[in-house]
Amino acid sequence: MTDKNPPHDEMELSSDEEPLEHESVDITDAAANEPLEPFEPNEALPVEDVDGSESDDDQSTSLSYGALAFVAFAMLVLVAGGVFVAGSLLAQDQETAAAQIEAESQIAEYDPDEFVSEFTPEELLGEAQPEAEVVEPTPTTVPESVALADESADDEDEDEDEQAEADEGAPESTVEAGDDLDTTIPLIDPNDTALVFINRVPGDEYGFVGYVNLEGERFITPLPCDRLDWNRNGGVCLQGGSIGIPGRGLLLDEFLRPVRRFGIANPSRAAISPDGGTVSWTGFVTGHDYLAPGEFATTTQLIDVERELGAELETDFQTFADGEEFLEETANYWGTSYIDEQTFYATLGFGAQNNLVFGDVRTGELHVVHENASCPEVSPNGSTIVAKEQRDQAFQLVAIDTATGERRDLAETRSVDDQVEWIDDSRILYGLPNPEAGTTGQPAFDVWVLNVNDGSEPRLLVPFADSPASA
Amino acid sequence: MYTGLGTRPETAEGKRSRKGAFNGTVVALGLTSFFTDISSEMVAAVIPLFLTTQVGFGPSAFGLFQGAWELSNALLRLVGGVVADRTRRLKETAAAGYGLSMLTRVGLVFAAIASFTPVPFLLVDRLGKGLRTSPRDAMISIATPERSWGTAFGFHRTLDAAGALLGPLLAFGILAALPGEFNAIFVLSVGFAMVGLAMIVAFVRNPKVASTKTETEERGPILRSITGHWSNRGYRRILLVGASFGVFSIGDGFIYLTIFEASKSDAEIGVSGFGFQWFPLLFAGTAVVFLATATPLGRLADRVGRARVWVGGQLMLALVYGALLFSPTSVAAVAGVLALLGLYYGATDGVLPALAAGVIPTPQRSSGLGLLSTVIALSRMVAALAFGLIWERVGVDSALIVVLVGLLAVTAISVFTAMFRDSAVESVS
Repeated sequence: MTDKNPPHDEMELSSDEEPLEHESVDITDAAANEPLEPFEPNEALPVEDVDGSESDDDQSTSLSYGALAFVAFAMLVLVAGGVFVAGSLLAQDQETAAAQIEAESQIAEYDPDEFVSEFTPEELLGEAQPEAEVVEPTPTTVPESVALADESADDEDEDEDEQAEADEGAPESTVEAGDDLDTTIPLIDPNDTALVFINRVPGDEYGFVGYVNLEGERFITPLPCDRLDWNRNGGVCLQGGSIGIPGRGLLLDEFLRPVRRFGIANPSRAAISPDGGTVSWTGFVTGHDYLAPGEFATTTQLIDVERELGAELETDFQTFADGEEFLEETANYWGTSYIDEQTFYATLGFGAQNNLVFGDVRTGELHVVHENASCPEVSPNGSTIVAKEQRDQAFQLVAIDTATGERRDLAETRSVDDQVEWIDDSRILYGLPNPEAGTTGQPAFDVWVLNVNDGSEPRLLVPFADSPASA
Repeated sequence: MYTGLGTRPETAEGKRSRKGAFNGTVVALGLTSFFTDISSEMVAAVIPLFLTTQVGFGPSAFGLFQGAWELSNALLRLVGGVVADRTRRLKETAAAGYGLSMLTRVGLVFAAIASFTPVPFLLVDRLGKGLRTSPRDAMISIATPERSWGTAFGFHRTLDAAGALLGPLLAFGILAALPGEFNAIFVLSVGFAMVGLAMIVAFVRNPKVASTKTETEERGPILRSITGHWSNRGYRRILLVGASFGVFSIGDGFIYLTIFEASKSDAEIGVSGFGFQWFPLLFAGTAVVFLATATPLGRLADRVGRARVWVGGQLMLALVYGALLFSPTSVAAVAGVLALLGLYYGATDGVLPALAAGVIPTPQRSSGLGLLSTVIALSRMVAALAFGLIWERVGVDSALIVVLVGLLAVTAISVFTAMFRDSAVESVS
């Protein structure tokens, strides 16, 4: 065998450095000299040429014109593709700019006094609300994985607790919320914040957290979030990722300063408990629509802020329906709403059936309490749940009396695919898409307010906003 | 040693000696794969999203689609090889495969505009990929002196993997800038597919295929084009070895899933924990290591022996399985696993055709390489199926132990019995 030479020599020369140059040399050779076939057949062997051998040189020359034309054409198609993409970008920019002007003019028309007349500052700042229970029963057997909240002592002095949380709960080493985030400058003044929301004005500030102050004026912060919850003890912000930028969750203090981060799947729901000790997030693992039963999967975690412990509703809790353990592996859990630090409501979805569960982190148990409803939000006094009930392809907001299970439709006739927010024990806020405004990439939403008790119609509260959260 | 059909036309040295692994054909085919892979991977990256959001597919329908997609691809590799050998038109067969895929991109653009189902186009695209793979690899081997095959295949795989890495980046970049505009991706992918096709059409020449047989002998019954390989002892060994290693190769999907499961059950949520957010980046990590090591490892294979490097690659895979048993969750551990997986691909993906080409005579090379990759693809499907079953019934650790032990056993058997050797091993020793 002739190829037993050790493989070096010109292998060294034609090393990885410049393969392209090498190629161009070869190609010119092909046009000028002989055909570039890599091997020289042994003379003993019959030689066949697929192209008909003799006219090889002519063919290759005539072929190369056609070939070059084809290459040029292909390049042209690629450039045309690039132009198409650039054109789409340009068109989108123009659409966004137009939508932004429209949105801003609508916001300018909105009178802040309308907002102010809606609530008293006391209602907004939540001072009229009862304090959480001071005495908590000592847990007897707490499963390690669900040992989330054991902080009864902390409830006694809210302010001190907040301070402690911001300072010591976030030691230098682990506080690191991300290089791109400023963790020092307060973004809002909690004492002058009526509610926070996610800005839905098309343009550069789309998706950033905004707030309305007690005078009804609107401001935008530099914090981007896809989902948000906030109260006077802290907040939680979910940021969806894109390629190269993984999604993440941020624990916030009451000034919206990021204090810690955690990994998440595609953001769906976020909630923070009344004293800020526990946050919960839901992410879509596959699919992204609750309207297609059985075609999505969610993951919902509860996170103990202080102890950095997480528990997953699906795997770390035991679920009971009608007194029997519910063991379906394909079930999904989402949309947590805290009653207090230990108890909460959430959605259990199985097939096309959505039920509300009541959960307790001390027992690690979830119990189905109301059927045919999803995305619960419980009123501050615990007496009423507002949830979504699926009707055909739409969601109807319903109010459920937690004591009797009695249920009635709310005066909102549009489909609300959101978890509502309670301002006090009678009024709720929620985001609704506004198909008249916005763009495909940056759809518009408005925040509406509805009194669940007096039968009045919903009113527009904050235009071009979503995911409202109040103290 | 070379067995059976003693045709070794590509061994000539002399005035062709300036030709190395980076000759015109290999570079042009590499660029073809590079552009085509940008095109196909940018589509593949968004297809799950497109099918589920725009077309309304559920996971089971998607799973079925995925299965059909992979099976048709595996079988078509054999068909492509046989067609190329029988017509002796390797370039045309490969170009037809690239052309077919390019046309399906045009189809996708129309499907997106007129919103009808893109599924037929996606399947035809896989048919095109199956068709072109074997003749393309055969052309790489024919255009390159045998002592540089490892390098040449490695270089081709580097370009191939680079395209496969760039495609999704580009696609997600476009989707981030233009939400919901799948058509922008499809239109651009037509452009890249065109350029890829132009590279092979313009810069690759149909290799002369010398044969000891006459044309009528060559065109025996079609089945003979496949079964004929069985009489080749050296090839038989490689086929056997490839299949036995194949049934213990569970595939990236399961490896990533194992990592994912490990990180999910890890209750810690601190910054050190390997979280959900990195999951999409797993593939990229492996691809980077693969493309960075494919050429140097191919070159190493040319020097120290292809079989050795190939076995080394299998040991990397064994290390991956072993590491997965310890449920890696820290970023460093996961990065290590990904690097090992990338090394496994770098040491095997291009080295195997280089190993096999040596025992297949030139006229039968496309079908020989095609049969090999079909057999390996099928054996990997068996592996994935069995692994999934054991995982579900018994548990992930047992499944991992089964494949780990199996892989090590196959490695030991093939090393100690010297079941397969290649010329490079012998030329060095």
